[in-house]
Amino acid sequence: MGGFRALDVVCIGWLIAAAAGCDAPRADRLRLGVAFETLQTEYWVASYDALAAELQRQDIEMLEAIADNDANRQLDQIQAFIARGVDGIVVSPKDASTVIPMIKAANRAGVPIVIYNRRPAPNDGQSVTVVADNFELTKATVSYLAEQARGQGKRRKAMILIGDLGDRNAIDRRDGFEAAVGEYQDVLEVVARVPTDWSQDKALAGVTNALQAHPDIDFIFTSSDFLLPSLVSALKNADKYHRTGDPRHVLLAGFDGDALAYQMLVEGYLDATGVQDVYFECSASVDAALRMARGEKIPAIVRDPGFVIHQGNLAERKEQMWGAQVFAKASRGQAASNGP
Amino acid sequence: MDRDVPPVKRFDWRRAGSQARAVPLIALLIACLLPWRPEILSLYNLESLALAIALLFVLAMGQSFVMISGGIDLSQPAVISACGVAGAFCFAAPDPSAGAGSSVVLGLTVMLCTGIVVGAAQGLAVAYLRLPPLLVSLATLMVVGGGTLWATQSNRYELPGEFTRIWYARPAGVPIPLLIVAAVAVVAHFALAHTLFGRRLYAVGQNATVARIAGLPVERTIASSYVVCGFCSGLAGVFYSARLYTASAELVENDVLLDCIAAAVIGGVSLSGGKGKVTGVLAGAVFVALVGNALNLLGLRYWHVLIAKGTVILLAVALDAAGRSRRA
Amino acid sequence: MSTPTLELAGIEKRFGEHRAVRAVSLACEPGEILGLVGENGAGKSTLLNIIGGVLRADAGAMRLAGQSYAPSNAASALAAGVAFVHQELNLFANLSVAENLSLSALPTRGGLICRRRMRERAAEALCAVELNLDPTLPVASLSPGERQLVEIAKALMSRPRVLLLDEPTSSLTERETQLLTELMQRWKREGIAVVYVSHQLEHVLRHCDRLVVLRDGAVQAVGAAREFDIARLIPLMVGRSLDHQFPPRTPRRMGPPVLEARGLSRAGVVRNVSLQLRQGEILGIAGLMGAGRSELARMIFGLDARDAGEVFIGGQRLPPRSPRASVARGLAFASEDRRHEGLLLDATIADNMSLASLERFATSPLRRIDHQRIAAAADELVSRLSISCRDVRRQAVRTLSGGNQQKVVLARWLMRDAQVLLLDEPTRGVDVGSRQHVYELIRQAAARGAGVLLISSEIEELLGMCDRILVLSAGAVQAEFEREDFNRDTLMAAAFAAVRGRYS
Repeated sequence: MGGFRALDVVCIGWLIAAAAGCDAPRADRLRLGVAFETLQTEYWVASYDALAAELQRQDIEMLEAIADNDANRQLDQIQAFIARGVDGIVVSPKDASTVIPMIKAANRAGVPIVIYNRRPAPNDGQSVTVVADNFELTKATVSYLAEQARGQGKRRKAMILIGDLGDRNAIDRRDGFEAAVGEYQDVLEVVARVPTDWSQDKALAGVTNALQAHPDIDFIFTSSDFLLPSLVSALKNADKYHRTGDPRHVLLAGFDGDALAYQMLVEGYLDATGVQDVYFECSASVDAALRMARGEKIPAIVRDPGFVIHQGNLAERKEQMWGAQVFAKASRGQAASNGP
Repeated sequence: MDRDVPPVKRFDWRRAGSQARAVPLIALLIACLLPWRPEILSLYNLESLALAIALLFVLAMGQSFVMISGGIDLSQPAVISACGVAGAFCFAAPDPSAGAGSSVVLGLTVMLCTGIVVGAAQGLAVAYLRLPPLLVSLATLMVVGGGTLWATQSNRYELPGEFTRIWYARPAGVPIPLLIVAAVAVVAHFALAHTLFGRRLYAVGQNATVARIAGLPVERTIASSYVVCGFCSGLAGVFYSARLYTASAELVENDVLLDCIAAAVIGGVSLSGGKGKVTGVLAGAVFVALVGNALNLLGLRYWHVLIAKGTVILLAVALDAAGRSRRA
Repeated sequence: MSTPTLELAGIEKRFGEHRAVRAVSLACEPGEILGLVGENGAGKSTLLNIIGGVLRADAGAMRLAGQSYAPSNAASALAAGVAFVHQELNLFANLSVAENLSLSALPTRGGLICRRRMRERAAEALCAVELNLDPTLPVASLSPGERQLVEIAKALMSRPRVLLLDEPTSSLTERETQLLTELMQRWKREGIAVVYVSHQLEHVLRHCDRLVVLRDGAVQAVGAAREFDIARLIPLMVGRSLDHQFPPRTPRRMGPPVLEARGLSRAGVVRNVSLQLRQGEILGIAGLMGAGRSELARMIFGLDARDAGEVFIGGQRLPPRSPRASVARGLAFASEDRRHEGLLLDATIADNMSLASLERFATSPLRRIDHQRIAAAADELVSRLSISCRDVRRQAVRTLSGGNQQKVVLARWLMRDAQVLLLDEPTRGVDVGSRQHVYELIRQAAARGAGVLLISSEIEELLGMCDRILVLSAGAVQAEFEREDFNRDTLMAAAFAAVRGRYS
């Protein structure tokens, strides 16, 4: 059967080509498997790049896998790492529950596993989580902004954009916000809590509705800077998007510290944002994996304190802000393409 | 009109070949991959592979029943997730008076029954209302998928440890899923090759009019095939949710459908109905799961995997069509 | 003596073992209307298809105005000047009249269709057939008669030298038929040679110049139309064929009625048909194609819907639309389309034979199929029916000859011991040798007490096999003949009867 043979040849030929394109493992190097849920936002891309840079710096071989939002696939990828004999795994999971079988699989095989940036649900497996202290950092950020408000003497109406409540980080940030607001009751009154499920469309719709219901909102916190575009769009439509110094300026704070946040800080539209120290988190993850591999005992959670960046400390802290670095790289590229 | 009578070949290679074309391919695949990824034959990987095959086989088997009857079921991913969620609802409100074991049984039953009910609904629509299977199953995919999302409000439900043992337990070193799926395979093979239902299914799939004239219960047979498929989707729902410890509306992505139909077609189940054997489907499942496993080990990106799998399916389907047109 | 426009010499055409056209020679002069008559299966359509380029002859030669003529397809025939107006209309219902008329050569201007010219052309063409309607109308809105005329107009557009008309009056009203007659006279004057095939013998006799009578693919008679009349035509059309021989009749005792149909009707197909079939009786159903014979059988069996009427088996009412119930009560149906409605072509002989009897071979409680018993039963039938095959268990039915395939179909019902056999054209496409077997089987089944309803287009078959014959015409029972009244001519006359009375 000629057709049958053709099928053989094509499949096998393709697979050989694909296999040949992959690196052969070197026996002397350590290998770390890095499994990311997605590369869909700037934050994940920056994290991924930082991890890659860190591993290269330490001369550790990196095996990569992107799950593209499928938990099943991520579990398959973890198992593939284990089969390939990695010395450690760093995984950024799709959600807090589906990571548990991955932890257990790694435990069973004796491979150290580090969870990046998301706390897994309570489980009896062994793992180290490196995560930002969402609660404290948010509280600090919102408190900073509230202090500004207190200094200006005006009583303000506040709004928070809440993330996907299936995401532990979103819950912690919301709690941080409420805690901060609790201490500044004299200055802040929360009139709108917009659920966004981490969706731009929902954020836009929700904020627009909130601004219509409460046109005098003048204090806004967004649980992630990646929602800033929608927020800005809604503010522009309501003529509330003005720089610091303008009497109509709305106090605005965010979280994450991406390139847009940096730009808005520079231009004066954004007052503060809580920066996740990506560089710290990545090196801490690698460090934790290596230490576990050596048999050391380390605490189950490594917290990244992060820092609040605002217009006051912008100049001195922008080096540590991952968004600023992304922005700088982009504008260098822009300048290069624009030509002399 | 008479035709010239061609000589009867002693062993019909085309028929046998189409149902076992996966076997030499599998051997070739492994042989080619060994130099680059020797770990493909490690015990750990073989176990992962065996479980992946078992899971794919269950789905492909259900789909094959429907395909043999002349239809297709595109709703499997949604039904799998729905079954997982239905079971999770039971665990969320456990019966306090009964022990942990009984609620596992209850959850299991609910999951399987959900699959059966959805399958029956589709079967009735296709067989008695004479709606096209493609559209019915597509509509089911959307309705059941949307319904599950709405019922869960995009939440995830954690499943109790006792339940996840269905996937992870290893009595006498053999993973439970392998035992269950082996039993399913034996029953399916018996049903297709040796029972009245199997004969009727093949006849209806080959030519429903001829079957009807011969007095076969055409509608009942077609509807039953969808019920079987629904049961298989339910069983897959049990396995997927136990494996991931969670049930949610996004338990599986829609591309399990790709794998499942590919496994069936490569295993010799004809898209136009009336042909297919359990052994073939098993071989097809082994092949597709192996390709997936190999691509994982090679660490290739998802789009790479998609292109590879899509190409393989296209070729398999083209061969199927070529074989049919040569005979017509 | 001018050169004949169309000449055929020794045309042969076979389909497998069946000789559809045998050594046919004829000639048609310019301006001559040549009538071609014969019963179903005589080869008229095949011959027209050969002349029109749709089929290629296996042997023989054709000449067009003295030149050699061997069209490779319909388009080249048209280009050579032979236009074919088919019996089944080939218009596109969703397009307009003008578009249909211009379809093969759309007038374009700079790459776009020029609608004005299309309309002009259409108007011209319609004028030629005196059809007065708006060319932009969609064909779907036309009556069958109007569509037929549009087809004719289309054929005329190519200015043919030879016009082939296959049953042109079947969808025409009286007035339109009149119109056609006038057109034919006009064509005569213009020197077009017309070959005219029709079942409407009176029309043929009146308006054709010469006649050719075909029977079993061969020319039976040729002559001037005025030398013929119906009485002379019919025997020539159906004559005695020495190929068919029937098993000797043995006197049979016929029992009480086993099947009774009352008032079966379906709009446009079957009109108020009632019949009775007794145990051991072979009842023939005769009639022209389109008379509703197959439809009647399908309605009785429950395969097709009915508007009214009841069917009783052994005195008990049969549910109207359940082949399953029919089979359970002992009915059997063999469709005239053996390949698509009779057999699972890719399944084995044993599978096909056992298809209606599967419950018998399934043992409880698991309903396990006993393949051995099926194979044994199949082997037994293979020898009883003299089916030539190699392996019942492995050989696909597709590989058998037409005759053997038909025997497999019959074997299926014999395995079930059916009590009422509805057989639609059981010997169509079956070689002579197998025919004998089939006739034997039918006889034996009747001898064992089964009732047989035999639908056939071959009068000889019905006359030789049946105890009684019903003649259907245009969906209604036209006549009933007991054995002692069997007469070829009156039978055929009855078959043509409803068709005859439409004009005088």
